Amino acid sequence: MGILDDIHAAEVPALPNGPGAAAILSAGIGCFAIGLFGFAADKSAVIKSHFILYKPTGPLSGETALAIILWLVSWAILALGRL
Amino acid sequence: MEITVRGFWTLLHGMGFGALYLLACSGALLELYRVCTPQGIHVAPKSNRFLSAYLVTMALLAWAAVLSGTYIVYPWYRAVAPAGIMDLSGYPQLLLKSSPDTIDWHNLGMEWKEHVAWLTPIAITMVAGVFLQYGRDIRKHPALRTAILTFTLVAFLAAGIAGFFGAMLNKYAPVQGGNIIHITHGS
Repeated sequence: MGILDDIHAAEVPALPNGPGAAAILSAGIGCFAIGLFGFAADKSAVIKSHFILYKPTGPLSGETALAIILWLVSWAILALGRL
Repeated sequence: MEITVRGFWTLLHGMGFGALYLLACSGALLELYRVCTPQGIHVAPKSNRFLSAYLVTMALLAWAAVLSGTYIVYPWYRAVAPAGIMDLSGYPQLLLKSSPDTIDWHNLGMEWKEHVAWLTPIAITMVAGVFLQYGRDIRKHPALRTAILTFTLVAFLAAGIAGFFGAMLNKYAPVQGGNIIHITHGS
């Protein structure tokens, strides 16, 4: 009985893979957003000017801030299972 | 021996937070691989707590590196020179762009560095979060295990690229200026 319990505990995950998948997918979304916003700001002067949230840092401030917000919001939504 | 305030912050950003993060990467990759493989069932719970603390420290270092880089050092790098100034040593971005021999350190190097570096804190924070949640149980989820190992590797490569370009940029156009901090006085 004890050995069977040990084998069962070794093979059956205590947690489903949902929370982990939510964290991984949202990190992917955040990383993609960094690239996308950087590319968009590079290609369009209008978009670039809209990304300037903190003037000394320029458009990088908006690109990264928006990507971080997108990452954290998507993580929260996916983790709560609302999507 | 003295250092300028801008030089000190650049040193803290690159050699303090960035290099320490890079040094920690190989340990994290090895330990994650060891703990997360099916053979990791024999790993003591104590090493679980150690790895959790290690990954959280790495995430804090990554955030400290990108935030200090973006909001403290980068504004000094891209400072705009007043009209008519000839000495561009206090304006690293303009100094690099002033010569065809160095312009690509900005166009390629800094443009890459300023963006790719941000992948690191996102990736390593996710890895730390997943490991805190699952611990050694992650070895029972092969897909998650592969994903967190891959993201740890991506975070390492992104930090490596940013670190390389940072070192080269600071070699050709160092961020200097501001008040001088006297460390020692020569005899």
